[in-house]
Amino acid sequence: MTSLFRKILIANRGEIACRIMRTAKRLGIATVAIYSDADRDAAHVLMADEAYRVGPPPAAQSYLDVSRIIEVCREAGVDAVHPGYGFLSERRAFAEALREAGIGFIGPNPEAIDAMGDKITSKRVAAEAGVSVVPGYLGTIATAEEAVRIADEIGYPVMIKASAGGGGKGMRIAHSAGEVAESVERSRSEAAASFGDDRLFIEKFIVDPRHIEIQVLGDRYGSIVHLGERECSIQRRNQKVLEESPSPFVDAAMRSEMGAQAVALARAVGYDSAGTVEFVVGQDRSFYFLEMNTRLQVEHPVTEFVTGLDLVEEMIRVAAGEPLRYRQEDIRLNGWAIESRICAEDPERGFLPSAGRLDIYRTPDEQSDRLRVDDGVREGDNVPALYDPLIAKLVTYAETRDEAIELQADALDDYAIEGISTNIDFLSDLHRNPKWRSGEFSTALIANEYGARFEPRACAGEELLLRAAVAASAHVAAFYGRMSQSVPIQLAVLCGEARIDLSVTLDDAGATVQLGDRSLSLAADWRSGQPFWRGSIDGAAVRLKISTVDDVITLARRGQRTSLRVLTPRQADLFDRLNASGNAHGTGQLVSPLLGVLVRWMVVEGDRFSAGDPLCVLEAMKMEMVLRAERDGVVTHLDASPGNSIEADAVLMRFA
Amino acid sequence: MTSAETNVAAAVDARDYLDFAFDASGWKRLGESDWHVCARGAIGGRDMLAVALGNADSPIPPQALNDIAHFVRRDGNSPLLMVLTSCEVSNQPEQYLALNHLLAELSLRRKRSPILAVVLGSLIGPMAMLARLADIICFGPEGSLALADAVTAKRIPSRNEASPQPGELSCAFATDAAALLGLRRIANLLPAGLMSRSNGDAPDRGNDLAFEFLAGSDTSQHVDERRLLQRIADDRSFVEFKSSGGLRGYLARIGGEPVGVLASTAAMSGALDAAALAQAGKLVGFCGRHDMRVITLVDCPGVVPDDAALGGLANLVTAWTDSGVAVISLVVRKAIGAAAAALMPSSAADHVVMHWPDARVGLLKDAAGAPQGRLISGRETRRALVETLASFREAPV
Repeated sequence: MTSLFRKILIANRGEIACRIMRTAKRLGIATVAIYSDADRDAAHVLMADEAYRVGPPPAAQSYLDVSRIIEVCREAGVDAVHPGYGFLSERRAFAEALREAGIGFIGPNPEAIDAMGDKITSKRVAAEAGVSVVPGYLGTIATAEEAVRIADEIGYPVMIKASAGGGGKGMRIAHSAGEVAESVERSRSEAAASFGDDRLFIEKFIVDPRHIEIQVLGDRYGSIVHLGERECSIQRRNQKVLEESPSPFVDAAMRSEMGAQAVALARAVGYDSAGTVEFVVGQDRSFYFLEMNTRLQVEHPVTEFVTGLDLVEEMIRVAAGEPLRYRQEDIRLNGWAIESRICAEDPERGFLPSAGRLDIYRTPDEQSDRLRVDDGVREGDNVPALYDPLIAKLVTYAETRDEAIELQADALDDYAIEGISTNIDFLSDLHRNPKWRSGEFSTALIANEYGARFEPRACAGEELLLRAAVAASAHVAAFYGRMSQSVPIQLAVLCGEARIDLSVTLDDAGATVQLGDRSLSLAADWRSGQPFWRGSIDGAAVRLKISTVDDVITLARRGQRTSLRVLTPRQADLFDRLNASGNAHGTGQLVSPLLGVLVRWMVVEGDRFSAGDPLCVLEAMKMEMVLRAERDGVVTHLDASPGNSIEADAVLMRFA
Repeated sequence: MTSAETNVAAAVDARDYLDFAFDASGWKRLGESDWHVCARGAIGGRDMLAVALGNADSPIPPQALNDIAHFVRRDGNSPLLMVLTSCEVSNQPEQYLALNHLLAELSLRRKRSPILAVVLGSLIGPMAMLARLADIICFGPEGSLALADAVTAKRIPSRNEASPQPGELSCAFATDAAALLGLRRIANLLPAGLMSRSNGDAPDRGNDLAFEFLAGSDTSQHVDERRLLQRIADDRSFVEFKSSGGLRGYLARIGGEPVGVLASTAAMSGALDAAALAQAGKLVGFCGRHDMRVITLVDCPGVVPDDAALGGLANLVTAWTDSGVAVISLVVRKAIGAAAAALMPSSAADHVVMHWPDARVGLLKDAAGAPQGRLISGRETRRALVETLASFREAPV
């Protein structure tokens, strides 16, 4: 038995840095954090035993600065570095630099990183190791005739791709020889025009694919095991949203075959850490190698739940020179685990990144061994716009898939974040989606079911009545207080076009809400300012997230968010007329939805614009986004210049 | 159409405005003419007087102004609400005389009860004075107060003078409905509003550690005063006035106690100019008249060195003394130079200084040291403020 490390540095930030530290601390290993100026007060910095500044906020000058990180390693006297995921985790140069500095790397050897780092090379290595690869032709196609011949061999449909391609340009799907011939010519001219490079290649197109990956774990002595699969098909624009283990699509035989191929590939490159072999899987259960991620995956907790292993601990032990403590036959998969990625983004605005201060940050109760929240933030923290929008991973575990989904839905109802936009409502809705629940889906589920943006389902019927009752009682408690006890307060609750007239009487037990002939008895210990309304209505338990901005009370659960305006009946009569006065369309200001940098204006002062027209480009969270007009207008003043740092809610432009 | 009952543009009359402002329990009419309606009702269950005025085709006659003055003179200390739409007086001497009478009554009433105004139209010349006598003004989108040229009586374009003006206690709203609802929220934060709701502590404190994150380790960074107040105020709610210079005034409840808050803002790095000092003076005077305490959240590099600001500083120091108000100064970051006199007033009747660990006070920035006062961590802030406010209550100043 080799002794474990005395002190390790985590070359990362956010939730993964915190997650690695938790295991290190449990193992009695001292931890060192690094931080950029944007993360000076971040959770991972406070959690570490020591913390060192590595540079200004841009990642290229801080978390990606290899020489500075090596310098910190020496200064802090660490034995090894865990890179987490992203940043330097799959950079051969980093692993080599650590090796040269005599510092351990808690990850695979540099040669394995290199072998799997290039898509073409990795496919060739995989093919040589007997791993299924997507049938295709890795060279470039000279003529349409050659393309047809290759397509006939591969089997239809096929995809013709530009070698230099990206963004879908030069990419075509062909279902027949005739379509191949036609597509080759079009793709070639499109590729030449777009990239100045008309080289094409061809491969089999997998219809309605799933994304399933195998977790592998190897040591320095040639032992390699697989830890089953993770289903990662629920994606949006190639970014994973939900993950689970096991996959509802994979049976024991398929798991065994995929696992064997993953282990064969890992063995072929001398893999000696935790890694993931990703496969694209057809609806006919054919599976093909996509790529190998030579690092810890974001979604590793679902594997930890079903195997009972701590993957970070295993990585540390292996990096310290310990042999694997398990053989393949020792690995058992028990139960079902599901992970939801909670991100700082606004699904209702096309999933634009969001950034800012976490005014409220309340996580579900983790006392249960069936629930785990991996996060790296706390209430009051600032979520910077510069880094990955992932705030937390919510993981649930149960005997069955249905139970694990139900636990997710409950936990998301108990997750409150205010101050920034998040995808929690979207995730809640996703967990109610019949296709997701049935287990019959592909990577296109989100695109097909939701399109480019999430529109929460409208609340109606009984649910709307219950929410109106809760909102009205909350309003009376907050605005009228006990002064109104036992005196019925007449109110009207507005929700879009709907109006619900009711009366509320506060009493010692809670409140009685009279809706026409119907009387509802509400009991709750909610007090104004709390983010959850937990109580009962006529004895039935009800749990809602609640927030109040001025006179509007917003209630949410199960992905349905309802904004209700509580007024007196006479106010409700007059509201439309009084609310239409002045600038009823808004403030006449274009306000930045998030913290970022103004890249360029697409209008100048005096320009007329119509609803939908692009106004400017902002950069945030490593993405550029176009802000568009929501109505017609004329630009009267530009308040910011290209290159300016923009605060969330800052006025960018004024218009008439 | 000849009466104040109709706002032609929005087809809403004076009674509608009062319907909107008051609780569902309704209101009682105490006087009425073609130009005005006087009423008594409740907001949040609390007794209020109100006068809705304006939007008539002709100038308000002296009789109407006298009736309103009589109404304003009523006994009691119920807050007075004024709903003001477009209206004016003519150049006749008797109208000016009546208006002066009304202004005098308003200024007298202001000493014993808060006066809140909602300005929903353009008020020109002398009529604008009505609103200016209010303690707090809520502006609708068309609301403005403008001067008139004394010689030609020609209206000066009001845009540049449109409200809110720096230095006053005012809020601007996008719609008339929002302005009236905003006024209801303000009324509910006044002393004796929600009397029976005072519970000594806020119901949801969340993670008090969040104070530390708000404070951050970089003391050169301004602490977001709104978020700080959100963690301090009951129900996480407060009303904010238009900021002036490096300062913004707020109304809130802390531990059930209604308070005025003066907080340094990031604008001008927290430096105080004449407008900021004027707004501070108005809030101090208002709190003093209505038995409210003041809390200052201080991160101030000093006072802008010009004559107007220095004059404003002198007025503010006097206001602290004259108002008899009790004040808690929480030095969050720094109080340099005259900032100490403005926001840590030893001239106040009762004064407690608290400061965060890195706070500095001094005549010059480089020579600044730890303040004389109670050292508290961020997370102790709310409890310390609640306890100190309670001690003021037990031993009234």
